[in-house]
Order: sequence, then structure tokens, then C-alpha cells
Amino acid sequence: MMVKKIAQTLTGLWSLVVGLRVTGKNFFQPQITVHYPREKVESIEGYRGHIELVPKDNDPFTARCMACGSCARVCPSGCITLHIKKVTEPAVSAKKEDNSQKPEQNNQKAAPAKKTKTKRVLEAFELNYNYCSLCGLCVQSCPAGGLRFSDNVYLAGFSRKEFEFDLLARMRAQKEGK
Amino acid sequence: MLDFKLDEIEQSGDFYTRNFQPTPEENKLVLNMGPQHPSTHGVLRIILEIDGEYILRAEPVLGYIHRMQEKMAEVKTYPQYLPNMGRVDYLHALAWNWAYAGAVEKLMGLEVPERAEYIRVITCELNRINSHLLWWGAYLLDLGAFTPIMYAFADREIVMDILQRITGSRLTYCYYRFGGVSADIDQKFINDTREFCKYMRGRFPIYKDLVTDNIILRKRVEDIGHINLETCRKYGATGPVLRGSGKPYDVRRAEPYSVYDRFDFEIPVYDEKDALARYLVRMDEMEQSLRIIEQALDSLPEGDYIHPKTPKNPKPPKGEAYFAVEGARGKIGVYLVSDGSKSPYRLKLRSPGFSNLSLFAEIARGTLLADAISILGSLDLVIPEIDR
Amino acid sequence: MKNFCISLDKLIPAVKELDNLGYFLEDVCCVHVKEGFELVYHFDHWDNPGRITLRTLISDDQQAETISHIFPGADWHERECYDFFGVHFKGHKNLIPLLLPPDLNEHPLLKNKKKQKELSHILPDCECVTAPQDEEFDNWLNTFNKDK
Ligand code: SF4
Ligand code: SF4
Repeated sequence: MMVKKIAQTLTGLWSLVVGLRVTGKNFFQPQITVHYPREKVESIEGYRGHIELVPKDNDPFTARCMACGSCARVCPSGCITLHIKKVTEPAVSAKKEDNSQKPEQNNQKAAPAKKTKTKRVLEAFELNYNYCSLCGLCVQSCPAGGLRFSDNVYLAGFSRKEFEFDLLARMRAQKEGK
Repeated sequence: MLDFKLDEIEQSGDFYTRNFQPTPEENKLVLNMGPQHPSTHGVLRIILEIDGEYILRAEPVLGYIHRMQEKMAEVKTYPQYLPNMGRVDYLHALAWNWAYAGAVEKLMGLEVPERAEYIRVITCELNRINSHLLWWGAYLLDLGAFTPIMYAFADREIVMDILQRITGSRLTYCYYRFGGVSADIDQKFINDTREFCKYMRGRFPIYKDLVTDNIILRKRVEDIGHINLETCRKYGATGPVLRGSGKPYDVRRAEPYSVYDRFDFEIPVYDEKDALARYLVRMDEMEQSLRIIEQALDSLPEGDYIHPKTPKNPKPPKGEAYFAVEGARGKIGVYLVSDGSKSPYRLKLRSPGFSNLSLFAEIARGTLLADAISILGSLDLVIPEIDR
Repeated sequence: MKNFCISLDKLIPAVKELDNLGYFLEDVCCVHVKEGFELVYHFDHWDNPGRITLRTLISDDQQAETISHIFPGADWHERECYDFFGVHFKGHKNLIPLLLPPDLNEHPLLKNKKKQKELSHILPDCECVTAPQDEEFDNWLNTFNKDK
């Protein structure tokens, strides 16, 4: 009985030594933590920042977005608000150029006869990032491939207002900056 | 100078405390553990009636992080509810992703391409390892050991990096879609995962040396919190809690979903029924998960990662479906009732933690307060999942 | 996968039988329909897996029967149903709010008249709920016992 107790105590003590050996080994390993603002993690590949608009290949100031509204509909949190202007253009056959500058009501009256085309033009793409859950449903739902995730992940601010972006303006500003 | 009247004490406490003990009793102290207790991992509150250091009665009080997930389902469309699943159980988010996607697929009769099934298996198992690692670190933290969680986090970081590249998130994944997953995996993912499997195998002996064999841990977990099989059955406990009580029940085996029937893996089971048994089950499960991942990587088929004809706005036919998966904490079930419209008529989430915690009141009776912490930790509770 | 629609009186004996056979309770779930509340009990077995679903229908002002004395795990599930739907379970020892605050006098999952659907609408091939078929359960029980 006594012998067994002593043996148990010894194995118990030995287990502590074994554990300390692991600690000791790791003590001399290089540091693996990153001191964030001074250093940044190397790879944020794939990590989702807020969504952004993809510009057209041939025109970096125009978004691929064709203002269909499918992303705004699918978003679970209702983050996306589209500001769309309906521009009515005359059909190609119409000759008068000044038609397009006329107020809309005039055009609509003439619409059935002249076969005008209503184009939806994106004026602003408002994202309320406060409620975004980065689920990716909007990106997937876009028929034009007009959305993607940005790599703007180091975001911090003092008020909610700072997380309400106009993505269209952001896209243009980015391009101008370049 | 203390100056208070007795009837004031009688009226103190909130609804639950008063319900628990209407009038103060001699030699019995009512103690609220939580909702801000570090060992309750979030916001769980347990009302305890104690005599000295011994627990006479316990009653968990839930609902501090209740978000009414089931109501949310009824007001959202089917795809819109997907991101919610990552937030029900933030530690094993992909299992919940799977349970929900699976229930909808089952009702719609939507087929999932093979490659997608394999990707699901791989990512879900990686996520399971992650969940167990965090549990391991946090449990030891409860028991007073600080460093292990650092080791666990260092290893978790690798998995999170791997999953982040594919899913875009590090914790609250929203990766599975109806009929597949949202993005395909690439060669780098495969290489990284293989490397991780090798690396992780080398870590288990270190964990064993550092913690599992440690005499101090053994004294805190051995012979503590016995849960016999009958209790498990009566309360519907599943997962490592049940397997630590000696029943090799695993949804992946019992009602194989997806492609789990193609893999060769064991179901770790221990007969001791105590906290140590549950600890060891989880440690062994991580190794089995690695085995599954490697097999899945070896036989990963080519093909689509999502069914090409998945409807954008699915409207499952009228009817009901129940889909169960094995989460890190046990059997996750999603019961879906559809009326044929674009949002669920009723969605019930069966969370394993809910059932596992409900037996706590019974097994805590008569134990030391310090042991109750150990028992609570060994149940692996994730409060958001319990409160939903 | 077995599906049994039984009357409320038959529920307790049926649950007792399942208890004897070694089934465990997965969950208790409630669905609000035009006819009242449909209570769905899911059971499963460790050794011969296969879900058993018991369902019973109670009208809006009827009380359900508790099964928490047979499966103590049902205690919380029933409290949850009480929270969400206001369904009372006769004989429940501690029917107080579980997930919702105690001073909330609302049951969030109740559907208003417009949203309610008839049972036949959501369960097209399960007409039996309105016309319980208790014998079916007995028959199954007999065959189950014989197989053993
Ligand atoms: S990522 Fe999800 S939550 Fe965020 S804007 Fe897109 S759809 Fe909405
Ligand atoms: S779904 Fe695409 S094209 Fe449609 S509004 Fe959104 S960004 Fe524009």
C-alpha cells in the first residue's frame, strides 16, 4: 500500500517534469504572435472586407452594375440601398438629340409610339456596413459579376456614420487616386 | 455597519431566484453563478443552493443571449437565413450550415455533387478540430491552467487560415449553399490541409505530455461528474458526453449522411463516464477527424462544387424534413416545415448543448462547487447554441 | 423513419412504450396551424437508429400533456414551447419561461390568422393528424417486439 502510494506520487511528480519540458522547449521557440498595429499579419488572402463594385474592363469609372437590384433584395440584413435614376432614351431610330434632355414626363407620353428605351442608371450604391454579415449572398446573386469583396479589412471608426459608404463614389475615388 | 431588514432580503433576487427558493432557508445559501462567470463561457447563469462547499440543488437559467433564431427563419427567405447558421454555434458553424442546407436539400430533393460533399466533409472536420481545440484550451482555463489555451490558439490559427482562404471568414462561416458550397477548393488548400494533418499529429503527444498526463489535471477530472447511460438517454444527451459514458453513438455512423459511409474511422468511446472520459473522447476525435480529412483528400473527385441548377430563390415543396448531423457537441437537428412559399413555415433547431446542459442539474447535486465547474466545462457548452 | 399520428390520450402510453424500448428524446417541437397546435415529438434509438415521430394535435385552447416525468429532458423542450407558443403542459412541475424574459407577455411564434395554414396544406401526405390512427402505433409496437 505504502509502496504504491509512493510510486503514484513519483509518477505524478514526473508528469509535472514532463510537462515543464514541453514548456521549456517552447520557451526558446521564436515568437508566433504578431504585435498588431506595429506589425500586420502576412496573409489576409480570401478574408472578406466589405463589398465593393467592380469596374468595367474597358472603363474604370463605370461600374459593371446594371442596377437590377437583385443584391439589395437578397441581402438578409438590408444593407444595400440603390439610388437609381431612370433615364429614358429615344430609340436609335429617333433623330432628335435633345430628346434625352427633356423632362421625363414628356417622354413617357410619347413612349408607346416612339419605342423609347428606359435605362436604369446607378447614381449611388449605398452600403450600410454596420449590419453586413459578410455572407456573400449579394456577390453570388449579381448577374453581372459586379460585386466582390474588398481587402479593406482594417476598419475602425467612432460612429456608425463612418461605416455607411457610397460604393460608387468609392470606386471612382480609388481610380482617380491611382 | 450593516443595517438591513429581513423582509428586504426575502424580496431580493429576480423572478428566477424567487422561484428557485421562495423563502430563505437556514444553512442554505443561494448563489448565482453567472451570467458573468468566466467558466460559463458566455452568459449562462446557474442558481445554486449550497451548503458549505456542497451543491444541494442547481438550476440553469438561460436566455441571456437568446436571439429568436426560429422566428428569424420565418421572416426571411431560404437563402437569407444561411448566415444565421454561422451564428448559432460559432465554434462549429459549418455543422450548422450543413444541417440547415441539408434539410432544405432533402425537402427539395436537390442533389449535391460529389465534389461538394467531399469539400463539405473536409471543411466540417477541420472545423470540428478547431472547435475541440478551443474547448480544450478553455476547459483548462476553467480549471486554472493558463498556457494550454495559447497552444490551442496557435494551432487553431492554422486551421482558420486554411478555412479563411476558402470561406472568407474565420469564425462565423457561411459557406455551404443549397446544392453545394459557395467556392471551390484549390491546390493550395489541399496542400495546406495535408501539411496541417501532419503537423497536428505531431502536436497530440505534446498535448498529452503537457496536459493529459498531468497529475493536477487528473485530480480535477478523474472520477468527477459521472453520467450514466440512463441519464444520457432520459435527457437526450449526445456527442462526446454520450460517448464518454460508453455508448458509441455517432450520427455519422448511425444515420450516415453525405459521404461519411465511405470513410474508415473509429468512434472513440470511454466507459468511465466521468469528466476525464469526455476529455479523452474529444482528444481522440480530433485524431479521427484528421483521418477522415486525409481519406477525403485522397479520393477527392473532380466536378462541380455546387449543383448547376440550384434555384436562386428556392421554394421547397410543401412538407417537412428533418436533417441531423454530428456536430462537435452532439446531434444537431434541423426540423423544417414548408408551406411551399419562399420562407420556412416553421424551423426548429435542435441544439445538442441544450439537451446536454439540461442534465447538469441532476449530476451537480451533491458535488463540490469546484467540481461543478469541472463538470460544466466537460459538457462543452456554447451558450449561443443553447439559447439560439 | 416512422411517423405516427396519435390522439392526445394515447400520447403518454406511447411515450412510455418508447421509453421502455430504449428510445431517447431528440426534441419536442410545436407548429401553429389553423386547427391549433401540432406537437411533434422526435425520438431516436442508439442501437437501431431510425427516427420515430409522434405527432398529436391540440386545439388553440386545449392543454397538452407533459412527458417530463417520463423523459426529464422534455422539461426544457416543453418550457420552450410554452415560451414560444403559450402552450400549457398539464402536469409540468416548473412551467416558467426558459428563453424569453419572464415579464414578456407575448408568444413570438404564434401566427396570426392570415399566416396560418391548414395542416393538410403543410403536410400534404399526412392527413392522419386530424384523424388519429392509434392502432398503427400499436401494430408497429407489436412487430417491433416480435422482431426482438
Ligand atoms: S455580404 Fe451579405 S450581409 Fe453583406 S451586403 Fe452582401 S448580402 Fe448583405
Ligand atoms: S446585383 Fe449586381 S448588377 Fe444588380 S444591382 Fe446589385 S451589383 Fe448591380
